Amino acid sequence: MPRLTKNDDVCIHCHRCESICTWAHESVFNPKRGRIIVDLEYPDIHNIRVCIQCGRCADACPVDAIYQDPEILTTSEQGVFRLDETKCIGCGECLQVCPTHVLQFFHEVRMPRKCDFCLGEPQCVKYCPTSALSWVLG
Amino acid sequence: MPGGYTSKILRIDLGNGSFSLEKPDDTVLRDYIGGEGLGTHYLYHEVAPGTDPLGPGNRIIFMTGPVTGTLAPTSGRHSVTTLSPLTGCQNTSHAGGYWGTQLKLAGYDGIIVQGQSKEPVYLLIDDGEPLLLDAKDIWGLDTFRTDAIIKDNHHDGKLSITSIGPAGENLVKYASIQNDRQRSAARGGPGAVMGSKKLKAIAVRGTQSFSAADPEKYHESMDELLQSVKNNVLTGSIFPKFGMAGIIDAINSHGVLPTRNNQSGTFNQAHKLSGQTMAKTMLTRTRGCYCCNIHCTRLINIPFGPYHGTRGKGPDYDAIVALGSQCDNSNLEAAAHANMLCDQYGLDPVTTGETISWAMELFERGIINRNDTRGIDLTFGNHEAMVSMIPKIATRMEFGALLADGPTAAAKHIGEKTAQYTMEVKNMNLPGVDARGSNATALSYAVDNRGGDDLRPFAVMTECLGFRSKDLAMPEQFEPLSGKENIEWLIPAQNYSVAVNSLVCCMLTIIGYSIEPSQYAKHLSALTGFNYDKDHLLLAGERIWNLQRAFNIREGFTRDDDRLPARLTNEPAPTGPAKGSTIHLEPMLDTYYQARGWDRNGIPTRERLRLLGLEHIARDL
Repeated sequence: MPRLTKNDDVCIHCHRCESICTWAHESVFNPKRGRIIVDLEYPDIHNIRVCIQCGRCADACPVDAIYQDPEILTTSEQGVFRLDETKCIGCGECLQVCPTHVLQFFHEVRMPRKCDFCLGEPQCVKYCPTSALSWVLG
Repeated sequence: MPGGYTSKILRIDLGNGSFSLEKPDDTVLRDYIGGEGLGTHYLYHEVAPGTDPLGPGNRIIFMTGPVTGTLAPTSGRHSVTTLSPLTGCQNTSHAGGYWGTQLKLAGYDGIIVQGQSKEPVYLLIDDGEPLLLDAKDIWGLDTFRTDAIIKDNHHDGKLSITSIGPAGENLVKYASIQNDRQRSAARGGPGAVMGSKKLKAIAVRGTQSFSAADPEKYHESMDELLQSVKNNVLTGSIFPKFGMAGIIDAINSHGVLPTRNNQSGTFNQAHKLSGQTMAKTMLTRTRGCYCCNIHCTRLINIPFGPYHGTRGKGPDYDAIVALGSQCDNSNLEAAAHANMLCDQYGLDPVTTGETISWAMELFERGIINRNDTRGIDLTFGNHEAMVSMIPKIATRMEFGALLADGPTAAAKHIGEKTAQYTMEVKNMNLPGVDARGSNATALSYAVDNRGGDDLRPFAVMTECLGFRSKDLAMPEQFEPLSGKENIEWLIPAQNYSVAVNSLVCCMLTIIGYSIEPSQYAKHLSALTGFNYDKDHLLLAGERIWNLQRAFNIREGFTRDDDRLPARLTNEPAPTGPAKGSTIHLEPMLDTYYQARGWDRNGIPTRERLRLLGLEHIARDL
């Protein structure tokens, strides 16, 4: 039952997690397309927004574009929730219910980008320089 | 199109408020890489000799490099190139943070600003759309307020802003440009150039992507760079834990920590100023610039005492030396507060601290007194006096007005004999290393293309602390004091530094040679698609160095300007390992010029220029 955890206190606000996320999914450089978001509150508070795979977006989706993929299991013994880009109609219902506000709407594709835990090998965890992100098994 | 670039440069003429787009040639990108190199290329071809640095003819060039905004360590940097009002040389300052990345995401490799606006304006680049906006309401505000108000105006807390403070508006010759509230392009006074153009700030945001030429190879070399940075003792351990100031004790033990306006090279209370002390007393957390795993930025909070309420970015090494040991001040809280004031008012903390320490020496020698300073007791160690001078310099008030034009101008005003105490080269104050304990540092101070500056390379780390590069030919044994050392090793190290400044990556990755030239060359090849190897990278560095030299020669600089302050060449160091030593510059200069392929007067020969592909500039010399 793996899950992604975060520790805001050791985050250094370098945005590497956002950037590597885009790189892992699309092979381009663009932190603004990360499926993880780091916020900065001046002068010294850093907040990380991660997907907790709660599934509320899937419940809210009117066309079932967000579906469970049982390939990897998360904390609640559900499969990871993924976005089927061919089905998404860009209505934005999922954004409204996202408890961590990590789901964002992207105008160029007219849909959100959804964290898929990199199917069990989260790159943001691998590349975080201070282990502010971890991958907890069990 | 080569990878890593957007291949678009935005040109703004503030005289008529017009914008135009330019596409740099691929060969120019290959030869000058980006950042400092590309900035120098544009500056050389666009700023004619004799241009007034504070007039409409000067350019201020904000430039990113191919590595900016990518995943390599320290990729969050940008450079600011201009003709310096302080030195009259070409000048490139570098800043970290997030601004450079945002500019790249907005679709531009760089911005060239020319002309002069009549009214204060600020520039917004909104995902590629440039817009000049009225800045009357924010003119006069400090950089922190400016940052907050512009973010508020556009309802976007993630906007990245680089701005000048009151110092830049008042044309203080060492005013900085402050970005993201915490990082600054400071040395050489680019803030004054921005102030002269009445450009208060540049705010950017962007969402555009760019890519690497060979993603697989790129990923592999990026992993290698990250690992190298992690494995090095400086970048993997000391800088993340204690910041750049973590080396103060080591520098002091080698007798190269400048103290009391360079009167001495050791400071008996150095440990009180060190990064280790900062970590124990005021550090709240650390922060990295974009994608940086060194995270040297210190965030501090001083909850009690006379400097309570100081909360934000802490001082780094050069600022601590200038505002600490140089002013004989062992109070780290005072140095931190002074550094924050410099950030807020938009001043270069290094030149500010050193200028105040020069005034302190005059005060102690009785050359100036309380009548001159309007009642301020400018004795060494009086940190309250030091702190109180900073707003006065930024706003050109009282005694500050005299110091605001730099040490040489002030010395002319006070009296020619005070010039012997100004610790500057080409009118730029010497930063945090006392050159009497390190010959290579002395030489790099004398010949640097932007005046007294030791960052290209930070030679003391190699010569005194023994961090050597495997790829660059370096001697087995360094002799920082004897003067017998073969100083030629400095040349490839300089070329490498200026190449890395063009990528744009941080000097922290190369002062301990965490990353070797061959690694950067491999990385750059995978990113851009150009075929670089170690030699090509160093050649690009040499090309840029020579172009910078040519610019200065065209402005009238000669061998006579490659000199050191009299104190370093005549007065033996009084204490420490370097006790009794002075610098013999002339023989070193001869060796250096010859090894560089320059003539006896320091002018690049036609032959050398031809090798570098710069024959077209030979006629300018």
